[in-house]
Amino acid sequence: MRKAGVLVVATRYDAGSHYTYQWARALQEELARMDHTCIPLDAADLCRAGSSFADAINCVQYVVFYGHGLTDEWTALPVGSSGSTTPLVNSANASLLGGRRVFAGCCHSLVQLGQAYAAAFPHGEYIGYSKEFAFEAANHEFFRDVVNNAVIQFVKGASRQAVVAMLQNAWEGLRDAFGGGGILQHRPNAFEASQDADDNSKHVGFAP
Amino acid sequence: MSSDDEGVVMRALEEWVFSHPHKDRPFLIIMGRSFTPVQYWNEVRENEQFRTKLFRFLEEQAERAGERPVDMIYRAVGANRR
Repeated sequence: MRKAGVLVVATRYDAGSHYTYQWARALQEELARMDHTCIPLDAADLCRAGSSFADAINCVQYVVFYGHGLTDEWTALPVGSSGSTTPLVNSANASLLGGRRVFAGCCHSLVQLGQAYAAAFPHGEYIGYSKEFAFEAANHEFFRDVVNNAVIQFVKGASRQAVVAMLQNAWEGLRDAFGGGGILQHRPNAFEASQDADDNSKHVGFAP
Repeated sequence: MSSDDEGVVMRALEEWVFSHPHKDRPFLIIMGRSFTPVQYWNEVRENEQFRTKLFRFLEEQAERAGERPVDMIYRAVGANRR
């Protein structure tokens, strides 16, 4: 198996990112077990650390981000006294991603930032979400497994088209597993988990 | 969904939220905001777009599973009590 270098960046400053930070750590462990090089970093530290992010990107072929996103950014820090968030990457500095293969596990990541990446790297591969990314907390492990398995297939060499097709199937499968007759139909809050999986299936996509 | 079916779903949702063991803990995570069961119930009652989207999903999923829209909510009420 081809070994890859993967930078896994995550945030952990609220309820949502508390869960996705755990997903990032689980992904790191799985990638390390597969003998890939995996660099885990906290986005909040990176945005204050000058060139560390660019230095880390230089060491890898893949960049993975788990956290919050706006249409034009991966968010490193929440809204502060300035009234705005602090971005880790936005469309103005998308070139920082250096054409690496990117998996953006956050809301809106395909909108302006995804398009800026596509413009900067016409031969790059970027997977993300066109609208909100959602999950249900009591069942977050099932959502984690869908996302992390997709990243692992991407790192194994699957194309962005193949990974997105796999993700759409996996989200629809999870939707039906939480629905009537599904193996997870009696889980807590299953109706909402099913709806979240359905929404995710419709919003996942790729660029360019 | 008929207005009668919507009423049945709303009554089942009310039963779900008030039987929930963690009604003040975030359960729906939309990255950037979250809802406790109580906040979710308020959103369903007060936000027509949110409510319509839920009803449409319940109807579509019920059709896929060959059941009534309210059945998914009744199962969640049952899960609260286990």
